[in-house]
Amino acid sequence: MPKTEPRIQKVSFLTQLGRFREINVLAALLLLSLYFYWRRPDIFVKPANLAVIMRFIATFGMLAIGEVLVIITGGIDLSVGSMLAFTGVITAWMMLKGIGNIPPIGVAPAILITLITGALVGIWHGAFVTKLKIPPFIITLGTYLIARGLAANITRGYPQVFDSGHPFLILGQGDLAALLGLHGWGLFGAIPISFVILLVIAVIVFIILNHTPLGYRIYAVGGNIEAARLSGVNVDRVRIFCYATSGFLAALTGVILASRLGQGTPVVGSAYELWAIAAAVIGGTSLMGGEGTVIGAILGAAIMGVMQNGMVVLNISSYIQDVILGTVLVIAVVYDTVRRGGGFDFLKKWFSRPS
Amino acid sequence: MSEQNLILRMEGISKAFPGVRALSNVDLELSPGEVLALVGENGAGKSTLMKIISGAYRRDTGRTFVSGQEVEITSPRHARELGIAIIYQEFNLAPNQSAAANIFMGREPRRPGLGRFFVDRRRMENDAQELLDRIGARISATTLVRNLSVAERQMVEIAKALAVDARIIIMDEPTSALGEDEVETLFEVIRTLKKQGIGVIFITHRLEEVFRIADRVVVLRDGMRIGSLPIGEASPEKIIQMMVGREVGDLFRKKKAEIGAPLLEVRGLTRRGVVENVCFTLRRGEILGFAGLVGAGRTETVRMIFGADPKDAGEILIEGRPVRIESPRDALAAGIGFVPEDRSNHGLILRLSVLENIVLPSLEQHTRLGVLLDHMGLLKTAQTFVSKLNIRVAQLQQKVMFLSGGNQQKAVVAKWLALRPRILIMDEPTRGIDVGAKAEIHALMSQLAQEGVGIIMVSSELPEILGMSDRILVMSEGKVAAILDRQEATQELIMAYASGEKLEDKGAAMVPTPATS
Repeated sequence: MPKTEPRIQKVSFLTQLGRFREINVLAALLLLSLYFYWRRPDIFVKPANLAVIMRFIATFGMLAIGEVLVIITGGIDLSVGSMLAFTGVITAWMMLKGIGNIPPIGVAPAILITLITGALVGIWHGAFVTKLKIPPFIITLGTYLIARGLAANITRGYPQVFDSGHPFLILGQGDLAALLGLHGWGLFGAIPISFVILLVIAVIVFIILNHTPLGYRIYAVGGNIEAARLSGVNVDRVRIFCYATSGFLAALTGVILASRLGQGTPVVGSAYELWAIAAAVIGGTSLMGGEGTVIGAILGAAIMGVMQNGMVVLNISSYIQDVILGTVLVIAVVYDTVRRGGGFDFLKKWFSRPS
Repeated sequence: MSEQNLILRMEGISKAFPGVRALSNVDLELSPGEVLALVGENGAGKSTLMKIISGAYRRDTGRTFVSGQEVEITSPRHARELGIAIIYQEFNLAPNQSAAANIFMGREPRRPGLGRFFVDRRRMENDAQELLDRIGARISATTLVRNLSVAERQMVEIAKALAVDARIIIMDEPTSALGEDEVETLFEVIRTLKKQGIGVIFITHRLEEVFRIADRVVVLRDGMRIGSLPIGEASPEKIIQMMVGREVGDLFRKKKAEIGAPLLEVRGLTRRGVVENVCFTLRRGEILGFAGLVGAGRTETVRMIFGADPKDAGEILIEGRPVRIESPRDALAAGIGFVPEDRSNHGLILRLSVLENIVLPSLEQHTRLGVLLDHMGLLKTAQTFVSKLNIRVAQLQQKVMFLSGGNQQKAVVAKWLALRPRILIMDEPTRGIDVGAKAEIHALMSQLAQEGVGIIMVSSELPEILGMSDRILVMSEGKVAAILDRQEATQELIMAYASGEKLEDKGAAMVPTPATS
């Protein structure tokens, strides 16, 4: 019997997992951008406007990366919007007033403690999901209420406002021009620091997902948790890692947002978890688990950011904006479901292309 | 009896699945008030036949008559309308609803007039109680199903069948989860059904029950009907002989391998109610076959050894040293690989590629700086085993879901071989795969044995067990019924131990004492 020699193709795993899907999302993003540029070339590509879009992408891209990790393993994290408020409040509280009898502490230690808190909350979620078999929807819904309630209770509802010029504010408000003195560099100088942080995070998570055993295991757990367990994967640890990362990224976003707003306030971040999930889904993450990429998450956030900004630029009523965003989400998911071979047969005929 | 009187007649029923001929040209007939026992080895086609009667599968060829009328059963719903009800081993009951609500689920009685929008609860409960009383079940119709025992749930299922005026009730191994007194209660109910002219088809592995309850026995083997005997003309020996009667082909033949020192010793392995005090020794180069009926505890035993399920008691020694195995990770570390029975749900991650599946257990051996994956190394490993096992794939990045059953199974084996295990547990290694791939898997097992790997092979195919095993451990009702040498084992002897017909305490005497080297 002749041995069949499979061709070894050097295809990176990212390409393999999301090649087609991401090209679609990228194409949609470019088309949208071109459309808005065509309608308002005077405003849309101004560095100041692009910086607004990048800040939006930084916020929701970071949250969406966390959601992607959790959703790949078949879970969900509904707590991130409230965690944003909670972590923003405690980081401001630590810098401005100090907690209890402890005097105010410096910017760096306050941020560090906040990030650790976020990760610990994520570990808490993961422990409930894995050890106690509590549905992730429920345990993170609990934190959704608890975190916002705590944020409001700590501040008694009032925001903790930073003085202008406080060094902490550069994190969320600064751009490369301010940080590196790149004045006169135009667009490059207008890149917000928060966007740079997003890129750093994206690279790290990308490397974890595609170039470490842990990343393979995350996809394996999402693909079939029992088969993964029987292959010797410590499935609990993998899932806890994903929740911890989501908590950590929510805290990081919370810190950046507090800096951007110049205050720690308990009302920030309402419904952000749903926006983050929407970004992940638009970027090709399957809520059934097993599929999703970092690049998809960022592209999904970018589509939402460009649309939201573009509609403002075009003076579309804010009521209609939500209608349009919701419609885009539904179309993206239906398209994706049909593309995967699910859904209605008659739709499949419309969407299927000879490949 | 004239054909007009038959409530069910099936002629020339055939059914094929990709690569498997499940039924060929099977006839079946059932009279009112008759209890028909359907027996056969695992994979003989009993379940397929029952699924065709109950509308879960469509037959490929053949004709079906219900009460003399030719019908084409198109769906489970259609079968119910024809008066055919099937009671599976796993019940289809809603645990948080009452027995009455379950019995009338989807057909709840309504009040007259405008009240038709509301369920007439009192009438539903009265009618349900009447049905339960009719079969002699002592259950209150208002009890929640989750508070009922397995036997009582079965009664609810039977009442549910009667609520739609079933004339034919099929029971798939109804006694497998029942205690002895519960079995007697069930038989009482079956006798009541019989008096009411209902025909019962009863699938069982326990021959003793056939003689207690059945009027007639039909034997299937390899998808064919071997014979039909009135119970008066049947004997256990005759039925066993009809069930297995075939020669061991040359297809299954282990090549000679040197049997070495004890590799794996299992002592007193127990999980209450499932597996009791299993002891055996596996040696280097040996294939130890696990024979027994479905539900005898073979899969449960090997899963405990691999750490996939918790055990209540028991000791595992590898090369004479006790090892703690509490998770598959521990088993991996101890050099044990496991090819599970359910290939597509437990063995592989269908949405991932061949490459990713093969390297999943051995990722840690392919890292640089301790964290980053060596992608070329992964490719090389996967390539090596794809070639060695002759897995037919277009490219390594192909998703395993698109592979044939045989190639999928080879991929499962490949992922363990990449870890170089000392012990390989294979649960039904060749079930549902074509003859060519089967032979390749067997050749591979022989080769591994020659390399000194110890293999545990759970199989429900007796020819495979007899051909491939050096020794055969027969399980029955969660216990080791016997450990037989290849020379002394015959299909009849194994079946006799497996079905509990033969209870001689030979197995216990043959449990090897721990090596004291």
